[in-house]
Amino acid sequence: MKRILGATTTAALLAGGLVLTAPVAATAAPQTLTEASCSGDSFVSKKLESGSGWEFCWRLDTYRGLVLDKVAYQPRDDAFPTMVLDSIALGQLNVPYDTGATEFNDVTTYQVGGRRLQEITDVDCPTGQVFTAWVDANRGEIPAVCLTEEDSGIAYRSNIANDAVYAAQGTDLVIHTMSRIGWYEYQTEYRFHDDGEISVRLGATGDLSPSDYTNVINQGWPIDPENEDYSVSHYHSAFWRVDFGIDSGEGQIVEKFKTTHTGEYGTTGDTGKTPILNTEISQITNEVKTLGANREAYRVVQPSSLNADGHARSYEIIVPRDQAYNLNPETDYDIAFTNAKSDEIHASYNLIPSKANQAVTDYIADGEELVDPVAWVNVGFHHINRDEDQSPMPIHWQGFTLYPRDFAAQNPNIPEGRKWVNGNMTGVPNPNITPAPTAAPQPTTEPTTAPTDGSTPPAEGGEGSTPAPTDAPAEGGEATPGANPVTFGHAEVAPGATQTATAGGFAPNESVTAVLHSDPVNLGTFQANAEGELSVQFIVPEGTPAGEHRLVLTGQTSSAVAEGTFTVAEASPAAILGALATTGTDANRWALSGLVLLVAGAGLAGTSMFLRRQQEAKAQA
Amino acid sequence: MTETQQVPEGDSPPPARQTSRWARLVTPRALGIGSAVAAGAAAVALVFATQTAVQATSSPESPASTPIAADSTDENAPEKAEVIAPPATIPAAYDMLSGAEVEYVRYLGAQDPAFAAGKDVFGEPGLQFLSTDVADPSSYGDGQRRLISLYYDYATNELVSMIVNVTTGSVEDVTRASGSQPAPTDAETTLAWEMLLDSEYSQPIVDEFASMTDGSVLTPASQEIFLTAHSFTTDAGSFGAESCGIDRCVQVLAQIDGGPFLTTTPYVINLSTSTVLPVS
Repeated sequence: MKRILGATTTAALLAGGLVLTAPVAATAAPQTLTEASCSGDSFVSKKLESGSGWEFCWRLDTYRGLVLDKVAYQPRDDAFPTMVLDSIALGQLNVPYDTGATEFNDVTTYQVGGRRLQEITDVDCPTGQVFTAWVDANRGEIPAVCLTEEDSGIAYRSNIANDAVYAAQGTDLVIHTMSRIGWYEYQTEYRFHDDGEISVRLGATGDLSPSDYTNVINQGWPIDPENEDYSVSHYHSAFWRVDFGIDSGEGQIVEKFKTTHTGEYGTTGDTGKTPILNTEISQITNEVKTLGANREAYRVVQPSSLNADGHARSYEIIVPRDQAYNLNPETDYDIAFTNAKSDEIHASYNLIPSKANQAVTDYIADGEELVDPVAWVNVGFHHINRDEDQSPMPIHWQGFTLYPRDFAAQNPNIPEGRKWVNGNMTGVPNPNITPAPTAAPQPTTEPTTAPTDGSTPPAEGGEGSTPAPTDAPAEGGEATPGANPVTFGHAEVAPGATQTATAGGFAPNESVTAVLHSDPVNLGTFQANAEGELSVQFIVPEGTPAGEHRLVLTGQTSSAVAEGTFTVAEASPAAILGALATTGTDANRWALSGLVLLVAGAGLAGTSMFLRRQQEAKAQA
Repeated sequence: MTETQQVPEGDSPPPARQTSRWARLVTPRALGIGSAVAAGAAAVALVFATQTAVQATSSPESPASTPIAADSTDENAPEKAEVIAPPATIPAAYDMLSGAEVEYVRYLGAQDPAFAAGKDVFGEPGLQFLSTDVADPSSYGDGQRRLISLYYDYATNELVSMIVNVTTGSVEDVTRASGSQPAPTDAETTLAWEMLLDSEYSQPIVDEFASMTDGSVLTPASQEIFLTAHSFTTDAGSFGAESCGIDRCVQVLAQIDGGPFLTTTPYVINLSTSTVLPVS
């Protein structure tokens, strides 16, 4: 009994020890802008499987429904999230019927939020997290929002001969709500990809209008067996108000890409008449509506926010071509750019009294200079009804994409082995491949003159002989004379754990490669700051042998070298725990502690059983 | 007990004194207990792992919400309350709405002189409350919580907005304008439906209802009817309702239990002038 009590005490102490040590692993990170803006369930911060993550605030607006604010993206290797959008929400949903008899503006005259929001059920959110929110006076709080991490298929794939198939599956962070407006039901969805892309879309389901049938053949589609019920064709024009806030800075600008044929043709290629295209970039300086032609695109740039390559961060707006309902001033554009104003909220029939009943056309009328761009994105969908669209109507989608351009200097989820590829690498050997030394050619020609007596044999190392191998370098390798020192965050690190290194003496802002020796492992290319100092963080590759290793940092412009050594520890359970603590979550740490204890317990149990059997055998003998 | 056990000859050499102390520890029972201890600790650790993971993905239960009267014209409306206390916690600038702050903000709005000066949909004193939302938080830099309430003033045919600072408990701005028509409220929808059924155009709707419900008589109180409505502004197809937009007009959709909609779209109810208009 005492022993049992003793055992219980040990277990309790052990557990208590874990309880006390667990929070130590969590380091207090500075508050992000998103975190400072909202709280509780409204604040979403999610690291996706790739290691990249998203943050935003969400709320429900009576008219617009789901509103997201302070949307920020954190590429896997960045220390902090970077702001992308100040805000995004529906701005209007215009539904005119082709007979001209009916037209709805769902956001302002019906509401997409408030009483129209549907309760989220298991079928709406089978695997995600359901958030409860206050929606309207009659119902108070209901389950109204679904947040899910969903598989998005292949994220990238590159089969590099004799190196590796660099491939990964991706995931998206998806947030959505459902609204029922009359006979239609709409799913409002924002899909944040782990590579920084944002898909914005609206799904329409529910039922076709029960009161919009016509006998005018060219304005509807027969959906009954007698060919008499022509269900009226109609448009859904969905408008989103996208308030850009790239890197939280002022001074964002809007640029237009226009690619045109020079009129000339190249002479190579299968056809022998490959058109030569020029892409010109011009700034959109004033508020304007645009209707994109072929090979035209727009982006919002933050010139003062540079990625590690020194390129300005931007997001491109990719809209479907030729879908706009270009027959009314309220809808005759793909993208309109205006300055962000708190009383310009709806794309048409604005509900803020200081701009009562105004539309984007009114907002741009003064042609103001663009200083804080909002993009009004209009995606049209002409619905010529089908037999299949009868109750319950299969969901059909319309939307657009916000596409990061130079937000990160490389693929934000880049595998370690491809980090060295940054720019034209023609002629640069793949550092992941150690070339096997080829034997030097044997002399094939006979000596032309007979050796004379007493001549000395050629000295070792002479022409035609292979150089004698030098002594194998120590694990840490030889130091380069004149190299600057490197300071490490940890003197000893386990494989898989994070190490930091700091060095100076580089040219301002130059690219610096980091290579771990003695078996050279390229850890990536980093950028020195304006003072020529470099601070890098890298994961010690799994499989790095224990012992001393040398990190060599080489400036790509100045050729300055900094190097230093640190010790790679054995991959002990403690080291693995430590590595997890720096790279994973508390949950990981607990889970791993549990697993280690389970394995230890099983080992003890096994030994116990073995000893018992041995004793029994001895007793029988 | 262990010490008394006989070690058969020819087996391992007899333990030395030091190893015998070790052997005393490494007994099947001790190992069994050790294994149990490890299993127990593992269970504890795994429970913590699960809890940590759960905490990372879910948040504590919110207190159950109390629905509040939807319309300012309702008996127990916050607009008619003697006093409503500020919410216990003031949400952050970008947070979702809380029922408590909506109730408080509606009460505060009703204390502003502009409220009592207006008229509701029944022609009684007091603005007709429409909605409360978060006022564009990006246009304020002080982190204070501000909501925007919209009202309709049937006395002047104007939309009225009030920016209410929840943090300081004050109405900061009142703006009004004509020509903007947000979605109708429950009270406006019900009144419009009553007016339609009370109008000269009601007979086809009453007949349609009877044919679909085996002869039931349609009244405004008919429980089988689910109402939806939208504010109506004049468009090219709506001859007959030319003043809608400046006036506050509503088109009602009446769905009968089980699906079918009554044919109500040929009519618009002008709440500002209390008239029913055929549109086509």
